[in-house]
Amino acid sequence: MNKKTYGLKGLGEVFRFTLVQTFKNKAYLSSLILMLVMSILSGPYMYFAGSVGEKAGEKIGSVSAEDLKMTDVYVNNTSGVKVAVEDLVSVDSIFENVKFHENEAKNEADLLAGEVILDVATTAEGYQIDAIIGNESEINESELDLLLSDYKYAFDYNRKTAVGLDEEIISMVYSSVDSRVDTEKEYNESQNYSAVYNARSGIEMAYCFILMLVITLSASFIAMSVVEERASKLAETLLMSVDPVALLMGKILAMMCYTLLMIVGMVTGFLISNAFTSTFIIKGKQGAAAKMASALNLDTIFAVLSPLNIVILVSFILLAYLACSVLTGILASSCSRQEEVGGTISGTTTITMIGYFVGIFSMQIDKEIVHIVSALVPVVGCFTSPVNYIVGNINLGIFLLSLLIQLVTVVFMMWLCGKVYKKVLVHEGKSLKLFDLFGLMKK
Amino acid sequence: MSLEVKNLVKRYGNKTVVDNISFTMEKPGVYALLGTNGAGKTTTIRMLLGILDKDGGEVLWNGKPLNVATCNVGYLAEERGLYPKYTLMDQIRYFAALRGVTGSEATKRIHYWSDRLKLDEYLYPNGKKAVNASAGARRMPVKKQKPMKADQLSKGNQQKIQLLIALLSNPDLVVLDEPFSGLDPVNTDILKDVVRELIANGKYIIMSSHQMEAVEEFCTDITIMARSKAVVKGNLNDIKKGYGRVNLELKVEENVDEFIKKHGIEILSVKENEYKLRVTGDEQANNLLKDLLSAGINIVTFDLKELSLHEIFVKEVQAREELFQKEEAAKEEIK
Repeated sequence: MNKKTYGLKGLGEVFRFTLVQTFKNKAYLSSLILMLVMSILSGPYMYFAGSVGEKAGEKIGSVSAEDLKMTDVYVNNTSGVKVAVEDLVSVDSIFENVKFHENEAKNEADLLAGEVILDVATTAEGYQIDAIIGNESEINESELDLLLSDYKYAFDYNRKTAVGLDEEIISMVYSSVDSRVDTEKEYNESQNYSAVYNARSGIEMAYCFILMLVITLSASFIAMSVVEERASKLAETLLMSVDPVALLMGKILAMMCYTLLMIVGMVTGFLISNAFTSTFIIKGKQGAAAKMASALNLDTIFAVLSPLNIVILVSFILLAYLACSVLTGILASSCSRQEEVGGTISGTTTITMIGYFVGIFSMQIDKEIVHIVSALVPVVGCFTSPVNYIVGNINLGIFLLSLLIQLVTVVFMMWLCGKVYKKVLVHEGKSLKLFDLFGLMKK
Repeated sequence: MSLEVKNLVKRYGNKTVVDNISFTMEKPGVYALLGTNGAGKTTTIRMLLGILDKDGGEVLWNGKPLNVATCNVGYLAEERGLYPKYTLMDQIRYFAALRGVTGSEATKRIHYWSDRLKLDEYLYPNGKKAVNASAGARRMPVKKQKPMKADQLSKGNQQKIQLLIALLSNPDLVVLDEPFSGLDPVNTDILKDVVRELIANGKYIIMSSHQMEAVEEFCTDITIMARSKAVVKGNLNDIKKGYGRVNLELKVEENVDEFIKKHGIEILSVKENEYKLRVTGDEQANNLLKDLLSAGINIVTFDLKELSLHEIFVKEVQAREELFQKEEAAKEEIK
């Protein structure tokens, strides 16, 4: 093995220079700042956007607080079940401008256009809630339906708590009933499902998303940086002082730092923004971002993953990133102009998207063979293997085999880089295709 | 120290682009690698520096295989290139760091070469020291200029920057591929001064160039390549002596065409009684001189010189080309 070809002389200098110039580049710096600003503003933005949505929702059934014709509600409750105005769900939204009069007598003949009497009484069959409006009433039917629906719900809840049923029992009574068919094996296994297993879809989705983001964000940065040296005709001068593998790896590591900084910054900004929104804007209520996190089980995910799990996931992110980045660098080195970069990174992007979708969909398929096969495919296995191992879909042996395959893939990429990178950089003539690179390997 | 290049060969498929090139530098100085376009000069240089893999031969520095990682080599590539959008100082410091020159030592050397190559206005647009008005004068605020980038410089100035980069590490072996191409006369003189300084400092310099006057000024030994082969090789003075003194520059006060034709001497050019003649040797030249003197012709200048490097180059390359054409024709006949 030629020591110079596979050495890392100059790695530190290339890394430092590329990183410094990346942050000096106005386009890259602007992108980073823009992402950070967007993440910091995401909390208030999502809250206000969600409020608009809620307000839009308030128009369902043609009922909105602004258009409400109802002005006064006279509640005449003789049922014995106490219902406070505050118990009505829409009292602070749709009915915020409506005056509720409790125990204040009102004659039906004296009802004005926006007034309604709510009469709650006990009957032989149970309870009766009537809404009485005047003959000249302008209140439309959907407003009355909403008032009756809210009052009925609150009334029903209060009458159950009045007889001693606590919230937990009421929740059980109101909860839905699911059904499914299992084999004996499936049934026994499901009794032992861990919290991690139950959160598997969320974990896989989050992991695949982060991995895809890291690779695709970096690919274009790396390709542009490599092409820049070919287009600037600097390759010969550089190769005098830097080993070829080090020349590419320095760039890859610098771009990895930039990308990770962007991702960490975005996540941090997102969390800070959401906390700020919850604390100061909506004062303790769950913000839109937190609601979204709950919907995706992200809160559960962070609760069930152990530090070892995190190490496994991060390790595979690094392996996939290295393999794809080196491949991108080698392909980009065959380009002599910036305009050719787009076609080059499409290969890496394709592999990444295949891995992403295989990862997402394979987790939904409850077949061991699918998990094993997907774990053993180079690069694609980085998307599936770690999560499948963590949730117990594959055993330690398959996981270690997958790890070995991914390591061998990275080593192969490095070897390929050592073989062809220098030759491609100093190549003159037409742009090289993938087959041409294999030809260079043989020389 | 010494440099030995032995039987370098490079092939691309069935085509041999460098065919057994060998030369040696036993002492500091300038070795010229000359040749037609496409002769294989740059390929030879790239193999010498390890940028291209060799298909045959070896390169020894001090008796050991030349390794640019451990041997201090400065290289000015034929392809001019700098990062267009990075500042000049950032690039220079980067390349210096790659060659192990950092910190205050790098600053000192950049200052020195910037001054020698007249690059201060580009590398230090705000001056090397703070700009101070003379004592007693009111200080006017000076607008600070941004550091310059490579794409703001002319081609010639970019070339000087690259030369600065090549010399920053104080290399023992300096390889200059077409250093004078694209330089105006002023910058050509600056570069020549630098080369003289390098020679005085005991550097080994390999130069490839098409500017024969510059080569003749510095080079002690040369190789002329044509069609991948070396057609002429050796000490420049010895090569010239081998062709003899055949160029005669004659300046007289009247027309002497008849005398020249009588001796069968070829007239290369004539302008107002200034003749450039090609003689067969000293004897023919001396016979003409005797004749002119006998005829009472007033002779202003009679200068018998060797062939110029340019003439040797053209002569040998043409001969090689004719040989090549014959070989190709013979191959076609065989087919």
